[in-house]
Amino acid sequence: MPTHAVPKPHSSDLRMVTDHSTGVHSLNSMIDHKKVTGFPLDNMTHMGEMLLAYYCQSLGSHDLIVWKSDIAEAHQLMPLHLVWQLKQVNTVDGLRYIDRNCTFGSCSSAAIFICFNSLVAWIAKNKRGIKHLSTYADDSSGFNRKDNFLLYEPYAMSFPRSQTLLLHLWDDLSTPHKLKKQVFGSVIPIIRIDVDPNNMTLTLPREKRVDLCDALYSWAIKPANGTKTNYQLKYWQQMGGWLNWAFNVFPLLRPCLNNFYPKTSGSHHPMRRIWINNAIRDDFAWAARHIEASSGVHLLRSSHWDISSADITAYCDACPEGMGFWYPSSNLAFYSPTPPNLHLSAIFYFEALCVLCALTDAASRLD
Amino acid sequence: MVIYTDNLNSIQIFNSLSCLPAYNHLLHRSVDILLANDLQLRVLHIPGDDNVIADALSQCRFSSALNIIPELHISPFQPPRWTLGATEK
Repeated sequence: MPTHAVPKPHSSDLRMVTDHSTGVHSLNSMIDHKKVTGFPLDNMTHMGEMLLAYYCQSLGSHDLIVWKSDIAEAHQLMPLHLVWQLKQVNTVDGLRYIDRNCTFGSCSSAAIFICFNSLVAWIAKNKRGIKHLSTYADDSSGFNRKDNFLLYEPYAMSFPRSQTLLLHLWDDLSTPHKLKKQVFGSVIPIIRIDVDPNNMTLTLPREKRVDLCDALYSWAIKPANGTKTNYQLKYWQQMGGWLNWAFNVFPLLRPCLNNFYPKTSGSHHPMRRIWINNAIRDDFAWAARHIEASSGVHLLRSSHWDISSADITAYCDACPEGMGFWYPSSNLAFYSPTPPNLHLSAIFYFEALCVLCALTDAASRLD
Repeated sequence: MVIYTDNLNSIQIFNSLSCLPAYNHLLHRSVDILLANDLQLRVLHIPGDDNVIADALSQCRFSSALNIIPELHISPFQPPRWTLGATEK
C-alpha cells in the first residue's frame, strides 16, 4: 500500500495518506465495483421534504433551529475482514503496521460507512424517537423548535432536543464525537449549503457559485488550436458529483448532465481518459450561465402541489402527422403538421416537442 | 402549469429532467422558460381515450373536435425551427 505525506489544509502539519488506486494490483482494483456503488446519500431534498411536511402539519409557523452533528474518525471506525487487513500494511522505518480498519481512499469506505450510519439513523428514528433526521455520510442533521432544548451533560451544554438524543445514542454505541463538530443555529451550512428552516431556503454562497462556474467554463471552453480535450474518469466523476451536489440548490439544471453520463459508462478504471464533446460543452456553458444569473437562493416548495391549484392547464397529443394542444379554460386550440416523410420512431420526439410547444405558448400568454 | 399527455416518455423526461441526448435541447429550452417566468411545471398522464380533443387536433380532424366543443377556437402554430433539425438525422 503506497503511502505519502500531504500538507494539511490551514496548517503547517503533514497528513499521511495511503494510495489505493495506483499500480496494476492496487487495492481498489481488487474490489468488485458493483458491490460498493449505488449506496444513496440523503441530500437536501430529504431535508426539504421533512421541513415541508413539518409546516403542513404544524399550523402556523414556529421558530425552528437546525442542527448538524458529525461522527469523529467516521470511516476509520469500521473494522475490516481479517483477510483484507492483510492487504493494508504500512511500512514505516522498516517496521510493518497493519491498518485494521477502513481507510480513506478505499472505494468501499463510503459504502461500508453508509451501511453503518443508516442503521444508526434507523435506531435514532424508530427506537429513540428522533422524528426529523437526515444523514449524509458522517453528517447527521435535523431540526427542532427554538424552545425545545435538552442538556447534554458531557459537554455541559444544551442542544436542540433531537441533537442531544442523537449524542446519547452515539455514546451508547461508543461512537466518538467532538464538541466543535456539533453545530446548531437558525441558519447553518449542511453539506456546504446554507439551510434556513424559517425562510425555507437553501443558499449556495457566492464564492461557491463562482468556483463551480469556473469549473464548468474550464470544461466548456474549446481549445483554440483545434486540439481535443480529455480527462481521466476520476475527474469526470468529481465533476458529476459536484454538479449533483449543486442540484440541491439548482434542481432545474439537471439536464446539463444528460450528455455527460452516457460518456462515463463502461470501464470503471479511474485513469481511463474520456474525450469531451461539444454537446457537453454546450450543456456546461448553459448551466454556468444560469448559475451566474441566479441569486443562489432556492426556495423550498413541494413538487407535488395540488393540480387543482394550477394557473394553466393544457392537453397535448402528437401523432406521426401532427401535434395538437389546447386549454380547456379558454377553449384555445392549436395544431401543427409534423415534417413530411417522418420515420415512425420520431413520434416520441414529437410527443415531447408538443409538450415544449404548449409550455412555450402558455409562457407567452402570461403578461 | 399542468400539461396532460398520454405519452409516458414525455412524462418521464419532463418530470425527471433526465433524457437521452437527442431530447436534451428540448429540456434546456423548457428550463429556460421555467426559470424566466418562475413557473412550476407538472406533466401528468391522461389515458389516450380520454384525451379526445388533443387527439383530434393532432390528426387534423377539426370537425370532430368542434362537434364536442363548438366554442373551440383552432389556430395553427409553428414549432421553433431549431427543434425540427433533430429529426433529419
